Amino acid sequence: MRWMIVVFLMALVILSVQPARADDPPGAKLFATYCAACHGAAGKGGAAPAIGSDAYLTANDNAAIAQATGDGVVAKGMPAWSKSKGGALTDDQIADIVAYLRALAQTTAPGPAVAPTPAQPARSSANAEYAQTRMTMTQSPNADGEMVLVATLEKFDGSPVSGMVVAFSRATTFGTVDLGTAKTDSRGNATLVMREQPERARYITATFKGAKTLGSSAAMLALEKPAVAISAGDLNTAGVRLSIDEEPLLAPEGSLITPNPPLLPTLLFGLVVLGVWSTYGYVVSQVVGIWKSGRDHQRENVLAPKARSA
Amino acid sequence: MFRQSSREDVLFQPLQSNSVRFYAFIAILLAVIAWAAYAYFVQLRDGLVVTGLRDYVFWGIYMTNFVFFIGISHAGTLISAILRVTGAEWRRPITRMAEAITVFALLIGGPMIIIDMGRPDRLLNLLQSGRLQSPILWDLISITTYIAGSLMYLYLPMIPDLAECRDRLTDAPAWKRFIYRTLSLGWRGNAEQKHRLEKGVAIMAVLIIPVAVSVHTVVSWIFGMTLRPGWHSTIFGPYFVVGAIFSGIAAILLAMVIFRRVYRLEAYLTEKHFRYLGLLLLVMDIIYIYFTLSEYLTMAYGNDAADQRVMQLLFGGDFAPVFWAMILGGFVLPAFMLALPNLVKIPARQAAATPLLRPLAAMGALAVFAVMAFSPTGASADLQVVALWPLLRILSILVALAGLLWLALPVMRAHPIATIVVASILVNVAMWLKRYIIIVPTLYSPRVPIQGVPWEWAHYTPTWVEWSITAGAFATFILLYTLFSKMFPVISIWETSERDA
Repeated sequence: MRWMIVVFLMALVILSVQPARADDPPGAKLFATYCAACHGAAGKGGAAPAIGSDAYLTANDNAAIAQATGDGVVAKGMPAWSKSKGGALTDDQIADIVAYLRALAQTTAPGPAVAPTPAQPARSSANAEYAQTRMTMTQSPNADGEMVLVATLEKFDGSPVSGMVVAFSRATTFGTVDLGTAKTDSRGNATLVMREQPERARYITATFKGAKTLGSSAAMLALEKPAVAISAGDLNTAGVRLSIDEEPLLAPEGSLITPNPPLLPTLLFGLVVLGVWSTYGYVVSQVVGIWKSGRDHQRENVLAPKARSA
Repeated sequence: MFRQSSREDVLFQPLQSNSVRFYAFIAILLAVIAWAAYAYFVQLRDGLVVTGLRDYVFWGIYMTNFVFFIGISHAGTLISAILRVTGAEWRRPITRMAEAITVFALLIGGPMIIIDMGRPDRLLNLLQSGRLQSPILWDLISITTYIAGSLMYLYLPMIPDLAECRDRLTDAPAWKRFIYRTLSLGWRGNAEQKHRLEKGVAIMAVLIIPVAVSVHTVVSWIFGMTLRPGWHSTIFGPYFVVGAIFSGIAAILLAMVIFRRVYRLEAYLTEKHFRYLGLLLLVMDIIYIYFTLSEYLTMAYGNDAADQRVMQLLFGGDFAPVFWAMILGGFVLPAFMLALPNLVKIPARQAAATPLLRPLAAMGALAVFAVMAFSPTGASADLQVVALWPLLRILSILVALAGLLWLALPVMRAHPIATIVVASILVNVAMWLKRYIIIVPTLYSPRVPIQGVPWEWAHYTPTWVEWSITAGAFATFILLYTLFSKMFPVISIWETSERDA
């Protein structure tokens, strides 16, 4: 049915693909467009493995990630994205995606040191002072119990980058919530105080979109949940928390909307439909009886019981 | 039998001769159908983009037609079966018409789903990979079961009449005689045949009631099983069934008055039949108003954001004119029209004073127009002010209605059949609007809005293609029904003479 397809597509578009903002680094946009539908927003995982995870990024160097992106993992249903393999992405774009993933989890690639990706020096228009940046993020509660997020922006040589705008955001199921921006201070720290305590979707992303001589970088962390004590007179409410289940509630196995319908309701349903149609069959047999009786009448050449006006 | 024959001649008259007016009528219907076929061709060629259906509103007036036709199909079988099972003798001249409405309404309503699909061939997916958990599949099963059952229920009581046609219309064209001969199954009216027929009819009359109820319940579940605002409601099953019977009775009344006039069936369809069915219509109307009130009050009370958007659209927003026209003109007004002539006895001198009441009615009507004209446009204005306007409008419309009803009361008492028929026209129009009101406003306010959609994708205006196909659907229904009435007696001959004999 057409509406089911439409609903499905709507759901796919809304739920799976996080809209990329215009000022995101190029890798983030590409990732949102081509990868997030399966690998989840910021590589958190979905239908396909969580490639934004520390585990994955420590186990694979940049070349391996780039190769997997370009060639695909055909056995598991991942298409080859490289233009040379018939995909949609150039090698430069694949390098952007790898850089984005790398920046996400702030891991350094195992094995030999990463050569700067060719795309970014090209963008810096032959400026020799171009530098990659990396970002780390920490959190700690302040006196009011609010979480303070600190994103530290530094070059790969460890020197802090000051005076740059870092944007904080929170990815939710229905889109990205902007939390605000902060400028890095002399130590490269951009600070944000979380005024809210989201129950779900607690992944906070800090993004630096890059500057003329600085590469873009981003970091993400899962917001910790400090215990909220509610003062309510004499009641001992310590430990009382308002919460919604972490995961969306799934239909319990064997309920009506699971992929395989439960046996008993199915049987009952079938029995009712069968019963109705069998009764139809019985009525049809009566109709056949009427027809047979009429035929016998004709065969025996019996006149109609009543005189007809014809 | 001979005593009946002159009376029965009236019933055979339409089967024997066709007037010029009949051919002209058929030609008009065929022209409308041809135009609709062209519109559907355009839709198949260019896709659903030629309709007003877009990302938000993916069900429009096609699905409105679907629910409407499935609704009036209950005319039929359900009412005729209920009256047969309860032994209401006055039902006898009505049943055949009602049963025929059922069959033809189902034949028109079912395909509306296919027309609503951009790729009709994908209907096969429902058979190939249908999921038993889906109300869509339940719908397919129950509507198929209902069509089969109502065809049998139409056919069985027709067998003796077909034999009558076979024996009587010996000068009919050969193809007609062939049809009568074949379908009458060699009916001689002997004891065995009568016994089997009565058994068959009795079984079908009982069986068709739960089947009919299930059909409209399942149609409602297509909506109710979703989590959308305004649809996800436990009352939807009975609400739809009651609505279906309600519009079904109105449809029978229309068919009755037309056949009565055109085929001169005054001897069979008397004022009594209209009055009884009018009372049934009144009862269903009141139940329907009660369900409607219950439904909207629950929604309004819950204060759920998505529900509130729907309520706002209905009560004061884009759909307010349609909504209030439906409530006041289609539910409340018919209730008064059907009830008042039975309740209020006007003394003669008051009837004579009617001219004095005319200014009152005129003032009421003026008040309506004044309030309508000066009401703020757009619901985006300050809510405090806007909230009062619907109330004022309703009050002024009620005043106008009261004035007009008071004025019209003597007229309504003098022409009871016309009054009932006008009420049933209003009901039918309102029930079509009601289905539109159920479907479209909910689709305007999804729980998860698409961000940054163009305005046209989030709003719905039916295009000429949709209106043409809708007109074609109604024309096809009328055509099938007319041809049926020219082919077979619309009033059951053996059942009406059985009563008189």
